[in-house]
Amino acid sequence: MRLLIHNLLMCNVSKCDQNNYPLIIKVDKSIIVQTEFKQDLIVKLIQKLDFQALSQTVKSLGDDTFPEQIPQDFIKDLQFLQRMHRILYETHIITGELTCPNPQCQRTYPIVNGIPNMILTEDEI
Amino acid sequence: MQQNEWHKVTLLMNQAPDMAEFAISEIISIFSLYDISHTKLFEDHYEQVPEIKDIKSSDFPTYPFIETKIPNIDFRDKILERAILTHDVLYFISRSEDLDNLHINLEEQSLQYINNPNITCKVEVISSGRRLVQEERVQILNQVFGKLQCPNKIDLSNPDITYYILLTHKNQYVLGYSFQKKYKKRERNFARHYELPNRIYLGPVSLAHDLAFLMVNQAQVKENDFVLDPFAGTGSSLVACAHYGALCFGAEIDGFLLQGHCIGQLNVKSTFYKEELIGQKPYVNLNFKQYNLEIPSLIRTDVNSRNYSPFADGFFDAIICDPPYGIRASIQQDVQDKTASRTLIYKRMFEISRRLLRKGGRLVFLYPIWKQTKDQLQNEDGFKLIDSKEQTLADKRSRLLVTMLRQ
Repeated sequence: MRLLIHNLLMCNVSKCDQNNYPLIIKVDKSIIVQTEFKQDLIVKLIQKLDFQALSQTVKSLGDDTFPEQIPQDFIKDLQFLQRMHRILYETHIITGELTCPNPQCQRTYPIVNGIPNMILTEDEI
Repeated sequence: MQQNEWHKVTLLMNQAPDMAEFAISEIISIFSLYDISHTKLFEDHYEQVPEIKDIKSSDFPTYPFIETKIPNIDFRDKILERAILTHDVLYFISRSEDLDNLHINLEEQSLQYINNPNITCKVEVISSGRRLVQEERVQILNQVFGKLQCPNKIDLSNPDITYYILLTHKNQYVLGYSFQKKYKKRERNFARHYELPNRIYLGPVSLAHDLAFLMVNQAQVKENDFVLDPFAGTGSSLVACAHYGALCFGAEIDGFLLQGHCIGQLNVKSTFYKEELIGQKPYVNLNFKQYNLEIPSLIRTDVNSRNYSPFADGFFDAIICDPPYGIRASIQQDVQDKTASRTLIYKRMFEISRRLLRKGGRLVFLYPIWKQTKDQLQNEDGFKLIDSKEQTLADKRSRLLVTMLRQ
């Protein structure tokens, strides 16, 4: 699972409708897969993401230096963009869990072979 | 006038009758991707060009050869890089209902070649409809070039120019030319590389490669577009998207199909198959590794759940779907009536697309119809129907390839 798709996800248990994203990530195994850096793509992606949620998530994974907000002039900041490429696109969480941040819910979703399983049981729908 | 600088050309469309309407849709979509409207594309064929969904192959008397204009020589490559059902683009010389009159009314731009004694040429005869034997081809060639009085020298191995005499099964004739050194055989286009018999990981209803590329052209997927397939299956549609450098996302309810247990099998006949692949799960990713494409971002989920946060609104440039028709029981709800369950799936597809597609984004999907029931597409809130074309399948079934624009 890449962080870029995690950024779009929320808890879908039926009564859980507030404070249900971003899902808290627990990593058991992750890998980095190097891919070609495409500046235009990363710039476009950064502008569409929930940066606050991303920042919160990256910090929770141990990177304290990650900015709270998108830096000014980020479009030309190659170092920042390459860092984002590494975090959003090249990092894959292979095994782990996603947990709903809502204290009334806290439902966990397993990540298996890099794919999060968001399927609910009948009583959760 | 800028108009005069455009080159008059003849498009050579795929000859399979059941693909004709898809071929029309595709060429319209490709031209539109490069900001040439269908009105411009077909302006010489109609008093008033109809809406895209009302344009039919039978509107063109010389089908599968269609005349149009392109802005410059490079545009030919732009078409052929993407088109599955347009096989070549020739420069237009003339057209007639009679072979003996093909030498009349020659296109101005072609005269510099036809009247040139210093270039070499060869001639090909292409017939749509019945096969021609060699004697017939020679006879046709002699008939046309006897009248043309063309001073080019013949060179069969490496000519400067190749002339094409095109015949339709309705006895319409077109004369054209090309500078390409070798005639591109009809089926050998770039998409063949992705054909399913050689795909490493297949499911029971994997989307055929040509259909995948047609849908991608309908959705006008280009580099850096964000694309979602909410019924990703083994990723066939996303493979085509990834080919164009899109950022691919997929959702699929069937975990076995994604990972590779039971229902999906490694294809031992694939040239990509090797024993080391066994166990490299999820198998769906192998379909991307096979072609050196980046793996998509996938989730396992049911279309009925609310998985996407508010930030996902308007996130995607295109959504491409081949939803389960209800033949394969792959939906979580236990619904008795198959038609109702199919309608439910499509309802969800529209709900998701309404939310996740950006304004101006395209939703492209396949929709099966039974010919007896007058199954019709309803108008959908928030969408404009751009195109809907039918392909006849076996027995009494057809399917529609539908393109909608998020407004």
